[in-house]
Amino acid sequence: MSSFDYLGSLTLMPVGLAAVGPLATEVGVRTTAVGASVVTATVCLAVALSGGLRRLRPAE
Amino acid sequence: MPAHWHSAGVSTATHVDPEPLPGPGRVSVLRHPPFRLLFAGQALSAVGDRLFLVATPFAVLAIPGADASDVGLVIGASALSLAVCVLIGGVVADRVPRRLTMLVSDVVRGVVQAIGAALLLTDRATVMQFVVLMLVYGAAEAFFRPAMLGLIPQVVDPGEEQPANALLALTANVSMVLAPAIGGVLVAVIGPGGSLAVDAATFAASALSLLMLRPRPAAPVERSSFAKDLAGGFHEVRSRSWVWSAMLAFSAYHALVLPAVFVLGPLVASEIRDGATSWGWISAGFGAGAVAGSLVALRWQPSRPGLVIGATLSVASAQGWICASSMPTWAVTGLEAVTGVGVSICFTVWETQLQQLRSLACRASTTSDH
Repeated sequence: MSSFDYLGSLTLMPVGLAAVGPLATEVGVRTTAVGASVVTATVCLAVALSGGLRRLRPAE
Repeated sequence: MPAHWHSAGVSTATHVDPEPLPGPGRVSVLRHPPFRLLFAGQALSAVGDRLFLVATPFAVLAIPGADASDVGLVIGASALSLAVCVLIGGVVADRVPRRLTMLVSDVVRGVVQAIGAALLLTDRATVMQFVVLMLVYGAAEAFFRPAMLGLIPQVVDPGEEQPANALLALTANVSMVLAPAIGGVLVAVIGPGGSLAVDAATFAASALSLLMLRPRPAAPVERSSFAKDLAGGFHEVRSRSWVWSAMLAFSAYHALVLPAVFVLGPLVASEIRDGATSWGWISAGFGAGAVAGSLVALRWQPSRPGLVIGATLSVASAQGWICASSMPTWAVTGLEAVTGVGVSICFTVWETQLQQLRSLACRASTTSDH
């Protein structure tokens, strides 16, 4: 299962790496960097507070 | 983590193994000459990997006319071939002699870095040449780690795998802090071309230690392949909402935040800071935080692991903003250390949850067999 996690993260990273430069040229370095942080933090908080992750308890 | 970046590999650069640190009695595993050689080689490779992460963006930026997009293309090329070859890496590790796999991986990466160094030092480097070199580098890197993990039982006594792993994890941690700082100073003093040459030398030394290493013959092992793992994993993931929602968050972190850090961080450092030296310190700050976080995670078992995963990763998400900000370098370094703590706690808690899930599933299947 960790390989599944590994694959998802590994395959998306080259896409992000290829896109971040052109995006920074288009909208600016600061905007791109802050945007990446804000979107990701929003996703993290949303999944933490909704459903499965919030209910997760350590196994006995 | 990924990490090549995590690694930068994308290795994880972010992933700290949740192995306990070796106590005074545990270093006795170093009495085995083959393990000493493996340990020395791996320590050099770990330094080389981190050196690569600091030197590569500045090597690309040193090419006349190259910009942020080119940095992204070059690092992306190694990340892409790493992702593709990780699938094959696990299979190869079980079928080809492990020492040979590691040796080839080191030699290939050493040659790639030597060619890159020669091109930079003779002012003949182009972005396309580096994209090709990094495709080869990422592929070679993918085969190293699975083979190394498999080789450990062949160089220590049975039952000594854990202290051996812990000692290797400790080296990886120390190199996370020291190697970027050294790398930054190296790039500033001898330039990106010279730094790639030093990186090539670490791979040559690692290859030499492997050449001298005489492992015991491999015992037949039953290790599940990455592909099999993947198929089984898909079902587990779909049936548990906490697993896929955490993966959604990790995907955002890898697709958005890490590219911003690896591409825009060095760019901003070269525009408004002291270039590679500053970037080296900032990366070392992250590494120091990650090591501190892994020490915390060894002793802390949160009662709400899901909330901890989400909260620590959202702290880590600030890395994009931090790296591109115009704050003084010491402030950026300090904030990166805080995010390093978050990243390593996050991934350790996540790995622990997955392990618990696996052992539950394992127990369930043995009970149903009887």
